[in-house]
Amino acid sequence: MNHFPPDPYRTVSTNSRWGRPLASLAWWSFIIALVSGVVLSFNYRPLGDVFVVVSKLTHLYPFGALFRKLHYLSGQFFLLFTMAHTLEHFLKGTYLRMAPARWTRLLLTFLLTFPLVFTGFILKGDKQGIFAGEVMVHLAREIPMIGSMIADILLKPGETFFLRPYLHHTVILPFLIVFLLGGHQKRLLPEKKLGLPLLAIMVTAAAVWQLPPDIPPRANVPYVYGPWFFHGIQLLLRHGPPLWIGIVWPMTPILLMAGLSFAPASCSRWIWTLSAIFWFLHLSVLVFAWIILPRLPRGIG
Amino acid sequence: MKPDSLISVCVIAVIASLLIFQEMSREKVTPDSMDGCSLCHMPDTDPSPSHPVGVMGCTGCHMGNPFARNKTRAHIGMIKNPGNLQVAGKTCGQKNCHPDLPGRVEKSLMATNRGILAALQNLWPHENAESVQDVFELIKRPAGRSLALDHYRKMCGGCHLWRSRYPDLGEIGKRGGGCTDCHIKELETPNSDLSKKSFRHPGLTTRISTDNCLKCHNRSARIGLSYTGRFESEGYGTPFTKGGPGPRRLSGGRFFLELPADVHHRKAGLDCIDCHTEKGVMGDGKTYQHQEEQVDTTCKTCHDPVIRTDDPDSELTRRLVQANGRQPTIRRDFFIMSPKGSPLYHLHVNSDGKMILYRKHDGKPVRFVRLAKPKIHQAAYHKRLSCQACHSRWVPQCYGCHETFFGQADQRGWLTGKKRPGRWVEGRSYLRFRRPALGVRTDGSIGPFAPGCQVFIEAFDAEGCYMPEKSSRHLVMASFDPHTTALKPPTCEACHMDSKVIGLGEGALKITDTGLIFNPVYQSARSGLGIDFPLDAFVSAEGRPLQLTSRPGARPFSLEELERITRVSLCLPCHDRYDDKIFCDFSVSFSRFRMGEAPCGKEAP
Repeated sequence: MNHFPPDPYRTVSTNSRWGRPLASLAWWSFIIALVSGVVLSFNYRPLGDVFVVVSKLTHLYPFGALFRKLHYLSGQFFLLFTMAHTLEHFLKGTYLRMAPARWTRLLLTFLLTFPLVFTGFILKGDKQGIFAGEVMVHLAREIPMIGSMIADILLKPGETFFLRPYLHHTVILPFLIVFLLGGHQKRLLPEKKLGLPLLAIMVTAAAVWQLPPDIPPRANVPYVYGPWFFHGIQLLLRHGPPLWIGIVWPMTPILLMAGLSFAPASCSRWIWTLSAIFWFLHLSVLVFAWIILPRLPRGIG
Repeated sequence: MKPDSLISVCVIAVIASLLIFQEMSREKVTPDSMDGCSLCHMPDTDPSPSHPVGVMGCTGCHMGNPFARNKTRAHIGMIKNPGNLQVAGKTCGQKNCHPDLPGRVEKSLMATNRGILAALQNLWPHENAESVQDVFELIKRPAGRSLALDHYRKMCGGCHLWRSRYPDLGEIGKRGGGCTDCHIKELETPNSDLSKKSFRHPGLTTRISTDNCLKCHNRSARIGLSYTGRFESEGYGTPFTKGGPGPRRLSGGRFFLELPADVHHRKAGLDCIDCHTEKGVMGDGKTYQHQEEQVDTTCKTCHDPVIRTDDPDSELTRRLVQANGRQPTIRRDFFIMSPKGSPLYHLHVNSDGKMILYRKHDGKPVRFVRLAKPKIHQAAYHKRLSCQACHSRWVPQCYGCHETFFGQADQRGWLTGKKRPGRWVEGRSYLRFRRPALGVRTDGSIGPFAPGCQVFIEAFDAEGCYMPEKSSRHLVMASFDPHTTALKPPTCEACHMDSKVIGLGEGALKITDTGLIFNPVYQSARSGLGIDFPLDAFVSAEGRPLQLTSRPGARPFSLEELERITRVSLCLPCHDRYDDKIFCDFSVSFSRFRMGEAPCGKEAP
């Protein structure tokens, strides 16, 4: 019952030594995030003073902080494992043995994990979340022709600021990811043997690790930061046009990777090299941003 | 079950048990609580009845995270002084509290200091490229080369609402702090340790005491001191007490003498806020350059009021009465508004027309005098006189303000709290209490004038060399209400025969057929000031203005006005009553006197 129908493209194995465990860990992380998210949703309301809602959820309700940390950690693990799984396919060239649609589904899954985590960051309702939401809308508006429409779909400023990110985070994006993962891999449920150890690690981490502090929306702080993977873009946005920095720059390596399956063999190597260079540049800028951002002149009140 | 799964289950079980134990044993804040600050801090008293901690919590004003139980997290974004103008829009001015007030206060003169800055930049050595409009603009600017702005940063900048409070610095440390500057009721002994669960919270009030106003209004024009009957004296500290300087001390090591206080203070016990309305003090949302444009009260506002039978802003009146808490809640049929529309809720008019003022600080009724209409107030020859021209008993007059800039030393700037190169040392030529000189104000009325300010600037660079290009002098006379109101005006001679009052300064005045001859007492040139007129001379006997004025259009008396004023003095020895017939048309009377047609003219020597 938990198997998808046979797919002719899946006759060729693409699994390497780490491919299956990474995919499995990503899948388990997603499930833990899903379950902890459902628990959190009993007390979360995306309307009114969301910061107070989140603060009460974290500090007042029994085990609220634990489930929030579990949700946070599993979300981050899901992103990291999906990234590692995708990069492993990319670096080892196993995508060549994969049907283009399957590779595309993986890349789309990888791509959607970012807005999934990003909308979760917004839903904190604190100053950083609000700024992140505003940045997201402004970046979306920079897209020619359809920017305003996309921005409207993503977030509507005003009293229902958090409502659309909430819908994306809890319904639309998880549904899409389940759908894409279902098409990408054979099994609906991941391998059982990794589930309990991962859960044990996450529960232990959640017990000892502290969430990054929430910054009250009214607080005057010198600087606010986006999610960790956004820091490179946050740094570059200070100096470059939003469309190129916020949209084109992050999409380029993913589009190049998507082209790998379709490109003729003669171009494939060049596209691969270009993708690798872009990933390296992204990583370098990200690390540089982690170092430099806290040292830049402060300007947000 | 496989071993690795068993280990995982055990780990999860152990962690879960620990978490359950931790959850059961932690101190709870119920979801109904306003915030979790009370787990660590709980003030013994509320800031005010309208700010109960039990209802509003702490974070409503002080921000921070209301539910975090970790000190660092709970204190993120926390504000010690919610009244600070930098954050007042988010604290006092938040949506459900006082949303219109921070914006108004930010534009008020106590926050902008626009007049002070404009005067400094116009008259003092200044680089035009560095010009600013208000304090907030200056705060954001790095220190430049302008001596005018350097003086503001290190001297005048000690009094404005954007400034932070420094409780350890005495009186000057209590200045500033935005809303808190005025609305705070200082603790007699500050809390030494706020980490204790129980502590005393400073009070908040709309019954602002005169002492709060006096924190700032005790220098320059010194109207706060004058109102309470104190005159800043020279620094001798006499009469000595127990072999040392006397106890009449002001901040900054200054001494004072006791003089007659303003009648409103002395007889009625009124505080500043009994006259100065909320719009006059906190502004009405408009930006003004000068104090008289913002101030929302005149003598006539209360003493010759426009009485209405309806209250155009009954909601504001209700809130003000409620916030005051000591005003009688009696039905009112008549209402008095200030010129800018602030309800004078403490002034009551009975049906028989009698007025009662209920003091704001204690609600005690004071019988209030409506403007009497004796002939002297209706006399055509005095129609240009302002109330202050006659009823101001004395005014502190600080002559010769010597400002010396030493580039070799450092001094702390009040805007940043940091030391910067260059130190200002202030001195004066002399200080007097006396009736003010009179002159013509911008609106054409006659009012009191006093030095404001007569500045002699001398600048020395970092090597101690004199900088002539940065040294200058400008002598300015300013008109203001001295706040030394006396019920009885002076006699006619006190103005018409006093060279000081008519603007010539102290000295011997002789009225001759060819004009006025005046011999001043003070010799500025011989005293080394480099000017050829006395510091107290506003105008020469020839009618030549000797000093600048702080407002365009303001001036001393002209020669023609001086002659008209002094001409009256010839008759005053005999005709010393304002209702004397000769004053009905003095020009005709004087002509008859000169022609020998007047009865007294024949007998006059």
